[in-house]
Amino acid sequence: MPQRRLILPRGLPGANDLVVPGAARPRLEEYANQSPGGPALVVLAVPSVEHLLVSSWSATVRRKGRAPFSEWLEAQAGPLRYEVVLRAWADVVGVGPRSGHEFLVLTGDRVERLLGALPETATLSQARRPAPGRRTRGCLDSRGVQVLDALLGDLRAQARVGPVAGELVDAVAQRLPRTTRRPRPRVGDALARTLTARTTAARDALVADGITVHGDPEALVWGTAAAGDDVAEPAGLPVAEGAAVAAAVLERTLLWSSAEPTDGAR
Amino acid sequence: MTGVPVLPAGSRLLHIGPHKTGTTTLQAAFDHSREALSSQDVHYAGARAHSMVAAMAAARGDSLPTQTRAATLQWEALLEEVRGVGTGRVVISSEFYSEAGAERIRAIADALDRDRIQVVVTLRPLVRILPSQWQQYMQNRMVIGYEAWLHEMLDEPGASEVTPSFWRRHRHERLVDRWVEVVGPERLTVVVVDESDKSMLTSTFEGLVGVRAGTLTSPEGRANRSLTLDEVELLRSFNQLWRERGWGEADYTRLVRFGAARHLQQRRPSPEEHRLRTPPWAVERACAVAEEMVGAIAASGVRVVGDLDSLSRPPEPRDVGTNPVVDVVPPEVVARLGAGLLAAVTAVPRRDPAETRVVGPIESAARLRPVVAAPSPARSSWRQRMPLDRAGVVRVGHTVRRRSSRALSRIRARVLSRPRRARRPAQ
Repeated sequence: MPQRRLILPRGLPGANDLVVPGAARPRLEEYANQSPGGPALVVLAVPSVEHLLVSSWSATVRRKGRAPFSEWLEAQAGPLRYEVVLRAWADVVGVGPRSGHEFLVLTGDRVERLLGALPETATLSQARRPAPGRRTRGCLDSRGVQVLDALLGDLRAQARVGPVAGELVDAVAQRLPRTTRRPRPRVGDALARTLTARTTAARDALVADGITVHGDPEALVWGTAAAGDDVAEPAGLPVAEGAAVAAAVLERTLLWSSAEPTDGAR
Repeated sequence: MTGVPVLPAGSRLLHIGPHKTGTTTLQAAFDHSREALSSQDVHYAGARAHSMVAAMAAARGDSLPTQTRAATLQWEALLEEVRGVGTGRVVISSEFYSEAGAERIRAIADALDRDRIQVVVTLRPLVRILPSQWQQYMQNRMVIGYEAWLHEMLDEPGASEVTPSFWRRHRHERLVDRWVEVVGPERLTVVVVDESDKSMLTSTFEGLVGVRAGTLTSPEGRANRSLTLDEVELLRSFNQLWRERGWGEADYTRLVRFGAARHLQQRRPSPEEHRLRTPPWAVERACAVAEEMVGAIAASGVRVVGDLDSLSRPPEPRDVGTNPVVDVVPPEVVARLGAGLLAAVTAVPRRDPAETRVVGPIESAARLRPVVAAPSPARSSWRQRMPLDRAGVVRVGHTVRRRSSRALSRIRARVLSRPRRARRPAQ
């Protein structure tokens, strides 16, 4: 039996790839062409839906400087469709029924751990390691979401939304606490049930086609960190961290001019 | 204690605070009720609720960090306004007059006419002023913690170099004495604020200036709420960071003191948030000092409205105790401070500042922010379609009057600041 190849694409798929599956295809093909033939274990490093929702929302906020999380969430038409991505992979790497290809779907810190465990001399041609010093930033943790949510609600109440405010909000968002741990559920029970049902159905459909998928559909929704890793975040922000978050507004403001950041009052 | 005496017609009521004695509430009420006062021959001096710059110039000879010394001419403009009133009663209010020394008190009394001036001092218990005043200092870049500050103030009152203005403002019997020496006890009224009666302060002033009860009404949301422990500790940490960055006083004054800090105050804190409490040892010392003050004021011969003895009573038990160490602050408090800063930055106009303004680097940068597209036509048409109701018309009227009054004050100040040219001799 030929040695099984491990395909470990870096940073794929990202949020945009999932939202627009077609956009991911050229990249998928690029990976697949570098590793033709034979059964493969495709490790799909994906964010959880929860993680993705928060990330996508943060990106929207940065671009437009509006929409508190709760409001934005309600406006989402439906859950993101992992099965689309899984099928695209299956198509590209040529997996067919009983081909022996497998998918291992990992999220969050498991990816980190896996990459950390791979030896430098890995024979896995497609395994790409993160650049030295590069760390996964994760997404906003629940405290970060609360700060950003309250900030946007406040600005909206003051009618201070728009591109300029958006730029300053972005500065704040960059300073907010992030996590690579499993984020705590915030999308509400109804949506959680829908997401779980859809991902379960997607996995079952792939399995029925002879494609092995490792990974828990629940984990696709909420991430795959072990229960013991799901440490509750503190209720608030450390005081100094909170002050730095607020000061980020002024630091960004200073970038609009070449003024010295000291009191050179005229 | 006496009832509320009506001051003689033509009086110039100078309310000198001191700080943290309900001055903001009172000033907002006078500003908000100008028309009703005017119809009863009472004029509230100044273009805004609190003519702070004018008072600082008169009482201390300086100004806000955001103002050049030329702005101190606002005192001259205020005087001109007062002199132009005629025989009606005039009210001038600022807690900064409480910081004046003997020489400046004489100058102020002369400028307002010693035969017409009536000085009013509002007082609250020292033990309640302590946390409020510490918070106020915290809104001016201070970083010292509450308990350490209390030691500075109370271990040897008046000896510390930390916040020297505290005892100048709040050694109340000395404050009364300084003014009595110039205007005499018959021209000074002490109003002891009744904390249990929110309308007491405004009704007392209505009585003093002889207007109908209910004339002074307060605008919504202008009260000066105390910050919670979480809020003030966040601000303290922010101040520390401000100092580390080397950012300046002018920027702080505009963006934090009169911007984000006020925005923080307008937040409704949850009941779970910690209140700032004063430790028992400090309560004991403050009450002892207050007793001395009460005795001296009672013996000074000034008119007292309210219960003077209440100034030395201990506070409610819920305000006494040791404060917990605040390690984390609620996300919404952080958001509120951030939103306040963001709003302050985006509120900076793009146009050049007035000549009397001192502008810090952050404010300068804010003036250079990216240009934003004009409001959408949909919004404009919405505005065109909405007719103004009566309240809207009144609001617009107030705004126009206030802005034109400010503009006139600025022009007057500018004219007064010009050096006089020698008259050209006739050819």
